[in-house]
Amino acid sequence: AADGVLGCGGFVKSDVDINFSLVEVKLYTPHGSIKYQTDCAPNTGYYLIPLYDKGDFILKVEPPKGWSFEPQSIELQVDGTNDKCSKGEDINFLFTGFSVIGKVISKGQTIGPSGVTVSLTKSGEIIQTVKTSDNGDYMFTKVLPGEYKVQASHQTWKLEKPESVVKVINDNGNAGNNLVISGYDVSGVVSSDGEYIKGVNFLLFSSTVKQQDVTGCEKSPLKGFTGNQASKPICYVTSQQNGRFIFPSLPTGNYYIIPFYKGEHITFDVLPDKLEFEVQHQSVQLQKQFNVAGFSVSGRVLDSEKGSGVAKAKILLNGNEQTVTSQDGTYHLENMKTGTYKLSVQTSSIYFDDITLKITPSTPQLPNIVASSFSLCGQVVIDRLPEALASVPSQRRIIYHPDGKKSEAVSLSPEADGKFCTKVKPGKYIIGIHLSEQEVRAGLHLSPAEQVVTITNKPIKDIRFSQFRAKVSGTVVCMEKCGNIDVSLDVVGRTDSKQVVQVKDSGKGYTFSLDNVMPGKYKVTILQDTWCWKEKSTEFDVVDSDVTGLTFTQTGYILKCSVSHPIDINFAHEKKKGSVGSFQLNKGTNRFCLAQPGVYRLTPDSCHKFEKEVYTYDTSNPVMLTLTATQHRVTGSIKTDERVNDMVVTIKSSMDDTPLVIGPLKQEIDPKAKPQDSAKGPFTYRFSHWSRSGEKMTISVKSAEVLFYPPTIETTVSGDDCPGEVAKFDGRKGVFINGDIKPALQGASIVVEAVDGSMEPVTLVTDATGKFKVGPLHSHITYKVSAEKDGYVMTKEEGKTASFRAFKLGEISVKVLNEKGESLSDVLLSLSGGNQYRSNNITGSDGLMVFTALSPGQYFLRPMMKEYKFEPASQVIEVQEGTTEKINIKSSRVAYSCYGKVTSLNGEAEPGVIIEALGMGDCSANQEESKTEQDGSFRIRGLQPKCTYNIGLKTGDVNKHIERAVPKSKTLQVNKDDILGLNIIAFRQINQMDVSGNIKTSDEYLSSIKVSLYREENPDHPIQTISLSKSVFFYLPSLLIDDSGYILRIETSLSKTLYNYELPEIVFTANSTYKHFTFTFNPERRSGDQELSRGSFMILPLSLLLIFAGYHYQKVIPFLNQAFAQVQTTVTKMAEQQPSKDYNEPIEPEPYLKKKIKPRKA
Amino acid sequence: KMQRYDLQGTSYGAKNFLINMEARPVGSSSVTRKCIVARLEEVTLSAYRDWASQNAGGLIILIPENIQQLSPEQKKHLRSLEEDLLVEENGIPVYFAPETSELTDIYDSIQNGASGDQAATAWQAFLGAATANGFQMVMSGATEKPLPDFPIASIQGRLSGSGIEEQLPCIVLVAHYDSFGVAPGLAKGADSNGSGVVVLLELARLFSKLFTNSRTHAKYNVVFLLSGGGKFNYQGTKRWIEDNLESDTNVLTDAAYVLCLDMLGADNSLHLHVSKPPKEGSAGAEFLKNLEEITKSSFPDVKFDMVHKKINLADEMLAWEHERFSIKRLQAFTLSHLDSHKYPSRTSILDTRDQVDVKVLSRNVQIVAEAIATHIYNLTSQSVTQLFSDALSPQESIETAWLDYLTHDARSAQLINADSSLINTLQDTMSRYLKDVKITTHKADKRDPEFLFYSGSKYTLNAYNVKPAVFDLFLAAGIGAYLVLVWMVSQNFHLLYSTLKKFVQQPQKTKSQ
Amino acid sequence: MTFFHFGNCVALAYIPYAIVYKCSGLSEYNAFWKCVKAGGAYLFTQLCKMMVLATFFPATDSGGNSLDITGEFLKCTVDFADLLGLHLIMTRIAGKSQLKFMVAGMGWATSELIMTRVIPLWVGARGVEFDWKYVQMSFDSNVSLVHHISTAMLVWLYSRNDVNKSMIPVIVSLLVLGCYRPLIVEILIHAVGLGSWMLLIAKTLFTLCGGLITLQMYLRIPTQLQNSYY
Repeated sequence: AADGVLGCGGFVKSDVDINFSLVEVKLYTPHGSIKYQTDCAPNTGYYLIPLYDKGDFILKVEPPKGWSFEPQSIELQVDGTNDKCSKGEDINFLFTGFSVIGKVISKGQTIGPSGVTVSLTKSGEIIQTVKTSDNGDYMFTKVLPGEYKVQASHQTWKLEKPESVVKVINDNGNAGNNLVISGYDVSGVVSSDGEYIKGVNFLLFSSTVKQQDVTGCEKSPLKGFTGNQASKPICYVTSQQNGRFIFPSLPTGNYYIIPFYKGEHITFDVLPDKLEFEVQHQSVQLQKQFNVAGFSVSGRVLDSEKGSGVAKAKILLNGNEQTVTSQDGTYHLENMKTGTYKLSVQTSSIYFDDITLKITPSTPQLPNIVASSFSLCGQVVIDRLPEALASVPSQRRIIYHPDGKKSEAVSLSPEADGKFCTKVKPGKYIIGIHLSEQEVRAGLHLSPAEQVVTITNKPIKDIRFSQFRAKVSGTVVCMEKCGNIDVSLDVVGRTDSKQVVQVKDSGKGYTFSLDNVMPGKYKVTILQDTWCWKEKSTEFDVVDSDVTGLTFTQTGYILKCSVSHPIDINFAHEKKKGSVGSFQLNKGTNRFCLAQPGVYRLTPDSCHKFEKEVYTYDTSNPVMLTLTATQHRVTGSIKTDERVNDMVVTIKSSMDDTPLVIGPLKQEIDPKAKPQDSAKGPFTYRFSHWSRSGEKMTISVKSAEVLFYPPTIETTVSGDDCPGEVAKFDGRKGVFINGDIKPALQGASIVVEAVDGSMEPVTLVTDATGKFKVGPLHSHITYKVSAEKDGYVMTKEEGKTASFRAFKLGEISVKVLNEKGESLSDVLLSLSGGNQYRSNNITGSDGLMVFTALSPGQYFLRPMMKEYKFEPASQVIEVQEGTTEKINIKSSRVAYSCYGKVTSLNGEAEPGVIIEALGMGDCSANQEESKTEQDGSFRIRGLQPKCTYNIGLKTGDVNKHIERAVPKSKTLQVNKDDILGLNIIAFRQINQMDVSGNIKTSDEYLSSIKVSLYREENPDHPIQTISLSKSVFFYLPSLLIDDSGYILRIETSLSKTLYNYELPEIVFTANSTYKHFTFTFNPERRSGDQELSRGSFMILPLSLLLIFAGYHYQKVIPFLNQAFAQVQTTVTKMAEQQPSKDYNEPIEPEPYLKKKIKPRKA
Repeated sequence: KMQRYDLQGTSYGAKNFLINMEARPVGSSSVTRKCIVARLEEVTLSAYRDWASQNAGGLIILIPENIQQLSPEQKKHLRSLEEDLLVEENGIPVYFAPETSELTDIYDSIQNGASGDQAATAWQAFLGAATANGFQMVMSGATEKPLPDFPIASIQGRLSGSGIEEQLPCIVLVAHYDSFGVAPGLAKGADSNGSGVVVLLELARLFSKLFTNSRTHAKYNVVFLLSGGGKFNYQGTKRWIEDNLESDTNVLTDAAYVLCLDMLGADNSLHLHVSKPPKEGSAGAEFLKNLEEITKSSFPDVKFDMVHKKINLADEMLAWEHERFSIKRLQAFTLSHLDSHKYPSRTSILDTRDQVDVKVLSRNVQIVAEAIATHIYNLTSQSVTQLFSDALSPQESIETAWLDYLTHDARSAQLINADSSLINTLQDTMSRYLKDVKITTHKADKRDPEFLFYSGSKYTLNAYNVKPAVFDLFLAAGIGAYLVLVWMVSQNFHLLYSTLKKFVQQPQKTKSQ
Repeated sequence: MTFFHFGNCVALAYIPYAIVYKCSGLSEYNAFWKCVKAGGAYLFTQLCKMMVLATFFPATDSGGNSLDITGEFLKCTVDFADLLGLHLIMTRIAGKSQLKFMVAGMGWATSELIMTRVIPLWVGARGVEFDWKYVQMSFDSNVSLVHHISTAMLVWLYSRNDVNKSMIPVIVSLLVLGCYRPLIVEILIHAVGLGSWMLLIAKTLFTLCGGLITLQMYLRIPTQLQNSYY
């Protein structure tokens, strides 16, 4: 190419003059992106595409649509030398013709079907054939200009205009869309249960296509088709032998077809009965198969032979419901198949018999179905069930039978609400209700008894049976004006349904009436309880007729009174003398009748006394009288065998405190008894007393000589009935005991007690003469009498029970005095005498001690007391009978004692502590000790005078619980008198050890420190740990002083790496009460040492060496090679020395040297 | 730094505050706005006054590291100095510095620097002034600022007697825990009431041991109070009394007597200071009798007497702590080994740990304990002694530990606020032994604050070695001369060059031939 | 006063440089830029040295007291790089020979001065604290000026081929001494325990005699062009 710019050129040739400028030539890269494009010179069609870079390209000619060139595209591998462009050759594109385009359209549409073969003919002979693509387009390419004919043909479709003419001049020819396909074939299949049916007509309807456009199907009206749709069928076809039917040519649009298949006189039903489809630009194969589902038959349902039709009756074929009859009773059965069917009809209240019949296409009209029987319904209305039946289930039954033929009676039981229904053939029937006897007895009565019914062709539903109702009425006769009185009617046996009605004054008398009364036994009572009626209520029975004539007559006035006790009461009318009488009333409220109206006086008469003697009652204003008894008469009787006239009964009652004394009772002359035996026979005395109810009385009878058994009787008056005789005494003569004491001794006490102890002892004191008399006593008991006086010995005279002899005993009274003559108390005096008499007593506070009741004899007295010497030490005493010996003993203090108190610090006593007094110096021998009492005080006795004692708490294993005493001990000199007030304070043993400590450290470390205590035996398990938060001091809880070893150690949470410190530790034994430890803890911060980067110094010389070597490499390298080769040879020598098999091929010494080329420096 | 506080209107200690001044020895002529560094003995009141008149910038007094090394008269001098310095109104800020090696050589250098004034010839003086190196004293740390509502904390605890607590009589033991000295930072206050606090704690421990055991549970309530602000006219106690008098917890109303403990750490004498001798039969009298008996019977070597000093309402500083109670008509007295309150040792920084002898301290504890015990267990009749022995004896080990802890660092009032570690430790200890221990803090009331503290008690002093200005002139002159020399040399370098050449030529000639 | 003191020190340090610069006639040959270039070279060499030090030498923090001789010794070997730098500068700078080493020495010294002296003076001298060491430091910078010029001269001499052989070892030893000067100073401080003033004097003497010898050698070069200034 001229001066290096590459380019591709060439000519677009055409033997036909085409407008070259429309043709474009483009250069593409292999993967389709445009590198360069140009158009052609209009005159010569020359084009040139400059190329700037080598590589492979694709040269394409881009004519206007439709023009075709040859070749379409050329691949170029531009490499500057041997491809076309660089060789300067022309790349020519030959114009091979225009293209003819056109469209095959469906009639009436703008687009057409694809797959129609279109052929291009020029003056008769076919040049090209092509198939239409979708929408009916087709194109012929390489069509040289000239006049052509385009013919379209299709094996099935008919073309309206099969061919058209197109002229190609200098541009594409356009055949336009005047190849029109008139229509497309539409076909379908009809079959019945698998075998194809011939002769089924299919009527075509369409809303969009007009009839004249459709060809190839019968347009005449179909015989027998009563198409009632709005639109008229366009045409129809009939199915062939193989069940196929075809509409040869249907233009595009929406259609629907209806099948119609009519036998001689039966029209079959074909499903589906309507199929819509749409014709596009294709022939249509109806997918849905038509199926002759059989024929349709119709029939009629009548209610009687000549009756009218039964509407809305359900027709069932073989049990499954098919259709419903229309208004006139007709029904249609669609797509029936020939066969025998059971046809049944169902409707409410009309019954049909099932009929089985054979249905064939030849029997379009089924015989009429006549109703066979009708329903007969009704209701038994019982609005008020007698209560007796409430619980009993109703077995009422309904019986009906055709008139005249009683034998065929049929019984039926109604439902709960009384309804009943049955099926009867047309005819006259008699219907009755059968009641069980129980129901009849209970008063259930239904009306009407029977009903006569005729059934023609209509069911009867309104048979009603209802209950019988009666009317009750009566009159009331009163003595005076009746006033408003009510009458109540209630059913016997059941109390709930009470009906009350008021008595009306209907001029000639007082009447009352009740209606709507159900049959049954009733009781009517008059509600007026202040009057007496002959009968308050009457009973009657309602069977099936009304009840009249009930009368109530008043007989008097009721007196109601409530009495607290059963009494009899007599009443008397004030004015009318006659009516007097008495009634016996029992406890509670009583009512009795007073015949006459007016005022009555009532006097109760019983053993009770009521508040009022006489009560008045006025019949005109009835008021309830209440009588409460307040007092009850209590009687008692006493029987004595002789006359006693000084008998006094005393009654002590619980209610009032003063005993009631009923004066000397008079003998009760028994009227019946004969006068003579009244002198000697048993005499009875009676007494009576009004006591209140609930009063507890003790009755006792006293008399001078007579004793009464039982002595006292206790009764309580219960108050609800007459107490009557409550006390019965029996008087018997009393026994007396009298005795004396010789010599006459005044003031001796005599005790008389029953041997068997049944009587509590009686004591009395003898008088100056020494005599005594006890009585009256019960005669049947034996008694024991004893007498005593201090200082005397009483002995019993033999044979006599109650006379005594008194001996005065001897006495010794001893008085002890100390040196100063004062009485010395609690001196121990021991007296021993004959017949083992012994008595040891302590002198009282007055120093006096009297030994009494000493029988005369010789006695030995010895006074004893620590620290004292008595003068005389001991003595013998002679006691005469009845004498008192007075003895005085003088004592002298020999030793002294020390008083003191051992208390705790706050003054609490320390009982049970042993105090010891140790003699010192010359009297170190004697040792006295004593124990402190409960109040902590102690008294050490027997301290020798002129001795010094060391007094303190006794040590040793005695006072274990005392740790120490303050003062430990006190030395005291005993001289002439006791030592008082030695107060010692004792401290209990609290063997607790307190440990405390402090840590000397700076504040910042304080919070990290913990102090822990370990026992020596297991040093790794701390007993206690204390963390020191704020305070430098720490206090361990107290430990037990038991000499066990402990270790006190400090732990800290400071990390070892940061600080170096040592943890002090102290070992101690728990042997003292308090220990304090001081720790010092001062960690120094370890100097932060960064780790030394252990580089060595050698690096620098090495690097210098390296640089040096690098610098003089020419010299170094040969040196290196030579050394290496030398090493190599030594290696190979060694290898040969060991001839070994596995080295099969000799190792040639690779000349390494050559490889090691120094990379040249770029 | 020296104390700085206002107490009841009068303010003590210097107002201003040394910041950055040159050091001057004592004798130097011009001291205005200079900082004087002096040894203790050089500072006298008169010298101080005229320094103040010349309004010197500040005074640094060097005191030996261990203050006890001072000779007795030096100590006396320091004590007197302490009082006078405080009282001075327009004083200059005084600093006390322990004499470290650097300080001594600074002192010496400014000393001989000063000698320049007395130099014989003017030249020598000039030379001395020029060459002597002066010192620039720079104080670092926040300036002193008032702490208006500084809380003074008092810790109180109680031991309740057996029986119904309300009806039991009560004894109050009081000790103020703060210390006072001319410099708050150095006020260790070992005896002036470190000892009192330790005695109180020891009593608390002993009596709590007694009261826990039912058999030794006395019928007395005992209240322990560690009051703050003791050295400032017993502010803490005053406010505590006011709180507790009208409050319902009638701690004080039925107090049998109040025993204040002050300075019990040394010598063998005990004095009971009373503002009004207790009338016969009263609990106080009984306690006094007990003390006399006990000291006579079991501690013969202790000289005990009662000192009666009426409260003089005129002077505004009270003598003893018990006077606070006596003003409120409470029977109160103070036990101390000082026979008069005027001793300066109570408020001196000389009062360090070794002033207190633990043996004396535990002996005093035993005496007081016995006296109180005989009173509350009314053992007076049997004159029982040696009650507090072996199990109940005071423990010297814990006493020494407490003394070391208390005197470890300064306890002046303005350093101890409510939640300092000292208060916590004391409270923790008391709550170990006593019941319902609580800290009550008191603040000066807003309108006319009785006391006002100032912050800042410890400062670090940096001394810079400074050359006097004239020296720089010298230096400049020197350098100028040197430069001229250099210039001359470089100007005629070629002379040197040529001489060298000649020199080089000859040998070369010699070589070349 | 303190700023005045700072002024003194600066004067002490910098004015001699200016004087030398003036008098040595460099100013005529507008060698200023060459000096700057030398300074740049200096910077560059210092940078390389630092790089080498950083990579190869372990960070020894062996505390101030124990003298890690080997470390120091190796550090000084790195100082040879300075010589290399100087040599480089000289090869680079066009111009007469003595101008070359003068310029190199001058540039090198000034940049070192600027780099190492300004900050300590600014911080130290102006501070309140008065100390002799600032004065010593500035005096020492004068000494190091002389030292650098002499080293430059030595390097220049070494690189000249026409100097007679006998002087080479002297030159080499002087160079080596020059390099190991800080090492020697260290040793002096530690071993002998020289006070700061004595050290300064020692250093000045050492440099002066080094300088004289180099001057002498310089003079011995026969083919010295006479027409150069000196």
